[in-house]
Amino acid sequence: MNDGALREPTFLVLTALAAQPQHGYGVLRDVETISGGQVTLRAGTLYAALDRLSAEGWVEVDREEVVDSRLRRYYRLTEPGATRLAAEVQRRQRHTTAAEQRLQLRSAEGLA
Amino acid sequence: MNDLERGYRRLLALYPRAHRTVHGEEMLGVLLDGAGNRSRPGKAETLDLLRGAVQVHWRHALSGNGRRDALAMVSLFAPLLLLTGAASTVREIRSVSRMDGWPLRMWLSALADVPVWTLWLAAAVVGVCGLRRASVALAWLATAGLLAVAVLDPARHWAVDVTAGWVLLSVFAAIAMTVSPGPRHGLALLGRWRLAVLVSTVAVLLALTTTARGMHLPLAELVQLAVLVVGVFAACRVSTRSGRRAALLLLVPLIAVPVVARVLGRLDAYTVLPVVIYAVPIVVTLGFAVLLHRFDRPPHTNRN
Repeated sequence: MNDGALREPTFLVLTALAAQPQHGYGVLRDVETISGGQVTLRAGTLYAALDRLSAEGWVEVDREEVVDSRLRRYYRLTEPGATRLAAEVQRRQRHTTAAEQRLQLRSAEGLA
Repeated sequence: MNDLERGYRRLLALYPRAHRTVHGEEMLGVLLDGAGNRSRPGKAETLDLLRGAVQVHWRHALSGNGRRDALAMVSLFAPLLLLTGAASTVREIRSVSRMDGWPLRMWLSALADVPVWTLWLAAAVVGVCGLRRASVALAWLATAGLLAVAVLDPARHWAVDVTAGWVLLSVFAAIAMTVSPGPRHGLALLGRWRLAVLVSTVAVLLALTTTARGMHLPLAELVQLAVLVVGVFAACRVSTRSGRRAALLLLVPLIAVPVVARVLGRLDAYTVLPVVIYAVPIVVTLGFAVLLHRFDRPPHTNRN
């Protein structure tokens, strides 16, 4: 398992799938919502990420539907995927906490 | 089918066959869902799909035990096979030692590529010992050394029809060392008996190359080629897909280069020789790689 920092698109795709299974287009829209409109994933990036995440065993197919004669495949986060996302959240929280503390110190010392 | 869908289908055709089989229609659905009022794929979308296709091709090319195993076999055998190139050094040393007066410049030229073969031998040994990073560093150093010698000593080494095969095999070996699990994994797959077969093949080739002379040269070249092919096929596990791939990667540069040189020589096309002699083996190897890649089965997916 890769223990390094997750890249932003990977982190956002895993986050989008954390609460419930979603189909590809749903993930694209959800990533935009999660990032407050700052990140817009496109299909090429999404499916390259899903291809990699499936190979890692972090994401798997949940079910398939045909809507308006188009195939929709739903993906879900696996347990190893959830564990990896949780580890990434903790790593980011540690860094964020450290950054907040340094900024508070800076304010306290009147450097601002 | 409208222009938009046709455009998307053209772009999706650039993805690996295995990926298209599983995700092609699904990706098309996502693209059409997000297309809005567009009548053709946008520039940013096109670039994104092209980048995605390259990423998926790259990942698929390096994933799968078959490909990793093939490259691990190449990382074990290619450095040893490269030692056959030392035959020219042996011949050169022999001829310089017969000269009167020990000309220093001639000796320097004769011995210039000794570090290259030494580095390749060291890369193989270190790799088999499991020191992968060191073996990768030595492999690229040896490749750089071979290129430097070829460029800096044109009198002896810039005979492109001689050097090109070794340079290409050297690059293939260094890439295999870098992207595969390494020679130790190759040895675990092939076993010591097959390693002994390849070492014997190299020894026979060295003996044949250093003793061939005069009128018998074309016949000697044919014999060397036969020994090379038989030896590599016997050493690689050609009953398996990874073994066949490894044999192909090992043989293409060493067979294609002399064949191309002969053909261009007959056509009196020496001006294009340097370009063609490097291009043909690369195109042949990539062609085989693409064919093998296209006919791979799609990966297994979980479906509930």
